[in-house]
This record gives sequence, structure tokens and C-alpha cells, in this order.
Amino acid sequence: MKKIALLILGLGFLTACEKALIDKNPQNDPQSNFDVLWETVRDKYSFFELKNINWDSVRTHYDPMVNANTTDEELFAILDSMLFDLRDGHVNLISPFNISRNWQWYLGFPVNFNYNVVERNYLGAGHRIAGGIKYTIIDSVGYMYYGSFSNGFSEKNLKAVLDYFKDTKGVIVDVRDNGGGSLNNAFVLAQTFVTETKNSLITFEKTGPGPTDFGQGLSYNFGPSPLGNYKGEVIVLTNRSCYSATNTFVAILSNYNNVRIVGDQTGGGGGIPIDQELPNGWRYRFSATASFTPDGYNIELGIPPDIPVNNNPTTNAQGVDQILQRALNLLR
Amino acid sequence: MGKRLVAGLCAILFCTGIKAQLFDGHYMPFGLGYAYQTVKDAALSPVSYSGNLGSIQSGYFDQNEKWLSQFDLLGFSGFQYPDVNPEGNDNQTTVFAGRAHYHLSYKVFEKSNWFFFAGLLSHNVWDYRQVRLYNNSEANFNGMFSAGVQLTAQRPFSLFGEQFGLQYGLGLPVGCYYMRPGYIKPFFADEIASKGFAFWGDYFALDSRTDINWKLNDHNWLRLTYQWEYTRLDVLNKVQTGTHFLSASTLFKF
Repeated sequence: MKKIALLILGLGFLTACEKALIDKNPQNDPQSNFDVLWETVRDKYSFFELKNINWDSVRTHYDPMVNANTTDEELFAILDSMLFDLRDGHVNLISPFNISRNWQWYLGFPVNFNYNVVERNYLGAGHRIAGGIKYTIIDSVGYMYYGSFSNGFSEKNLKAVLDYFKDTKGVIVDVRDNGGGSLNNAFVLAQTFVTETKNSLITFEKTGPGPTDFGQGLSYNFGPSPLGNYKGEVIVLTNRSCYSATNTFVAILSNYNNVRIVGDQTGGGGGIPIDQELPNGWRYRFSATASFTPDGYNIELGIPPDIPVNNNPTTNAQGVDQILQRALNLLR
Repeated sequence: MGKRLVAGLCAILFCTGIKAQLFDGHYMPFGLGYAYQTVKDAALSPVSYSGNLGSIQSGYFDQNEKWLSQFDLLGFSGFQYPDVNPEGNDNQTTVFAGRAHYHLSYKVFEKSNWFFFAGLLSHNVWDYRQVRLYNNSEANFNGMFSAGVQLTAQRPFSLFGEQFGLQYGLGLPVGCYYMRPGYIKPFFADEIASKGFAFWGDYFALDSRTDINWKLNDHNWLRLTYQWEYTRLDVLNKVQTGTHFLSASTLFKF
């Protein structure tokens, strides 16, 4: 029985060694940090195929730049350049001294929006504000500017806007320079301006490390909000700085016959980003889903307008917003 | 210190035995304790996180000449920090976790004041972590609702004129229904993204628990518990968790 007693004693106290069972942690050195980032993006990023990116070739290019003597600044620059090749505004590397980003989705295109011009010449000093929405009526046309889907609004806010717009000839929903925010706010606002229920968006999540390992799509059906909806014609104003949740908002509305999109193509950002971290504590995020309109268009590429219009910088500086002016002319 | 501890435990194991079984009747424990947990979860980080947690526990058990029926309920909460480069990584998780284990065991063997039980185990684990610096992936969880086998040994003994009892239990779940984040996100369509059954190969768990019980009177005991639990699930995002629990409980007979 002494053997049994010793066995029980051993089981009780020697099994407490999970360090031997849990996989070893990666080292916090430049090569290990590089490897973790490259491998995680390889396994979970969602747009390699769409953007025709050969991630193995990217590694071949950048891996030789990393060695044991690579400083943090140098490593950040290498990882920044590697992530830049994804051509994705939802990709960031966050260190204590810098945040990498690719903002080419709007930097290389016309600005097409100046809030000062809109505020001074169209919204006017007496415009109303409901939550994050600024709104007024211009020549019997409702105009609302919503600058960020991170700025919330309540049901009462939306109802107030709808009530104010009820006798208008149409509504202009200006989301230019809206870089995104809450997807839920985008869904709620979209339901305020649609007049029929239909499937408007399909989202796929990655389910494995292969570039085409996506699960079953989730279809989103959007119809008029039970809180009330605008029943007339709607024009959405866009520019290249419409990104992420704003891009999704425009993609949803692009499916409806009562909605037209005027301005420039949106910036894209159709993948929902997830956060990860490196062994050295730097965080990074990247797109990990893919969303499509029902006709199979990948919204990562941005939503083209129904009526393309660019602002002329000269006339815009004189107080004329040609995109907004075009929308007013269409609805008057 | 370690040698003294082992020597003390050996003294308990080899001291004068008592022929009577350890418990007889219905009991309800209530205890407070401390836990230290290490988790390595591919959905959370490439490195493991560890931290100190406070715990509270209760439950119910009854024992008669042949059967031991034991239900343990445990809740714990605290913070966990990265094990690699913690001074350079400000991230942390806030943990809310629970355990609900039940086993029904039959006395299969009795010799030299030792009583051995074997039975079926329901081993249920739920760990929820809020990741401070994450946004779309801030929720991290690990639910495993398992079934397996349980082996228990008891040895009543007397020491310094007082009545004590040692109980050792080894739980070995063989399969589970799991709830985990999906490959990239915790939730899909407002539901937990990854759910399903897993068995040995993809899943492994071990629960080792040692109780030292001190009988105060016919209705009250004090219990000191050390428990070690290890779980591993290798589905989509591999997760490995090791938890040490140390607690003191009172047992009320009713």
C-alpha cells in the first residue's frame, strides 16, 4: 500500500507541471517577430486572391533584411513595408513609437469634399443636429451630413430627422470623408432610407489557413426600419475617403432603386479587421472577412458611383460644392 | 520548505488509519481561494498569458457505504498578462471563469484503510476573457463541456487525536462539446463562431485534486484543497490552459 500512497502523492503534486505540456512561447527576437507576423497574415488575411498578392514572394523579399541585430526601428520599417504590400487601409502595425498604415485608398485621389464649404454655403448657421447627424432643408430637398459612423444616434434622433424631411422632394445623405466606425450604425441608417426588403450584402469569414478557406456566407437582408423610413428618392454623396463601415453602408444602399450614388468611388475597406499581437507586444490588425453585393462584387474595391462627379478645386474654393450641387439639381 | 511539505504529506499518508469511511451523509462545501492560470490561445496571442485569480466555490456531495456523488461549483476572476516581454506589452485580459464538475462514483476496492472509487465524470469549463487592447477580437472564450471517467481514493486517519481524511481525485474527460472563437472572430452572425464535439486527439484534459479534510465535529469539517487542471483543444485556434487552485472550505453536514 505504500506504493499506492506514493503514487497518489506523486499524482497530486507532480502533475502540476503544465509548463511541460503547454507549447513553448516564441522568442522575442526580430526573426521570431517577423515570422509570427508573416505566418498569421498568411493564414488569416482575406484578400490575397482578390489583389493577386503572392505572400511567399513577399517573404522572400523581406526576410533577408531581418537578422539578430535588427533594431526595433529597423524591424518596424521592414514590417511596415511588408504590410504596405497588402494595399489595405485596414492594415496597421502599432508600436509605441509609430503606427504603420496604407492610406493610398484616398491620398492618391481628388479630395472632393470641404466641410467648411458645406457648412458655410449649404448647411448654414441654423442647421439642426441630431446625435452625429447634421441636417437641414435646401430648396425643399433634405440634406444631412454624417461624418463618422463612430458618432452614435438614437432612435429619437433618426425619427426627428425623418419627421423634418417628411415633405421634402428627396434627401441627400452626405457621407463624404466618413472613414467608418460602427457597422451596426451603418445597418440602422441604411434601413432608414430603403423602401423594400431585399438581400443586399453577403459576408464570408475565413475558416482556415488556405487563401480560399471561407465558410458559408452570411446574407444580410435590409428592409424599411420598423421605426420608420424615408419613402422618397435618396442620393448618397461619396468620395474616396468613404471607408470601412461607410463603404459597407454605400454598398448596401447601392442595391435599391430609390437610391442613387453621386460623387467619386468609395475608398473600399470591405473586410472586417481583427487584432493580433507580436511576441514583442506590438499589435497589428488586418482584414479577415470578405463582403460582396448580391451580384458578386467584392466591396473591398470600393463602390463606384451611379453618377460620377468631381469637385473643381477652383469653384470649390469659391464656395461651390459641385457634387452636392449636382445632387440638388437631380432632386429639385 | 518543499522537503518539509513532502515530509508532512508522507506523515499524513502513513499515519494511523481509520477503518470507517471518510464521509457519511450529505454535505455542502463553501470556500474561498486563489488560482493561478496560464493560457496559450492562438485566438488571443502567439504567447501565453498568466495571472492570479480569486476564487469562490460551493457545491454538494453525498457519500454512503458504496457511492460517492460529488458536485463542485467554482467561479474565479482576475487579470492575466503576457509571459513574454511583459514590460514591453501593455495588453492584459480580464478573466471571468467558472467550473461545474460532477462525478458519480462507486466503491470498487477497499484495503488497509484506503477506499477506492471509480465513476463517471461531467467536467465543465468556461473561461471568458476580455482583451484590453483589441477591438473586433476583444472577446475570447473557451467553453468545454466534457464527459469522462473519475478515479477517487480516500483515506481517513487520525493525527494528534484529531480525525482527518485525505481524498485524491483524478478526472480524465475523454470528449467534449466546445464553444470557441472562430478562425478569425469570436462571433459570427451574433452567435459563438465555433461549436462542435471534440475527442482525444483534438482534445485532452486532466483534473487532479487533493483534499485534506479535518473533522471539527459531527456536522462540520474544514477542507484544504489543491487542484490542478489542464485542458487542450486543437480545433481552429489551439488553446492550452493550466490552472492551479488552492482553497480553504468549510463543509456542513445536513
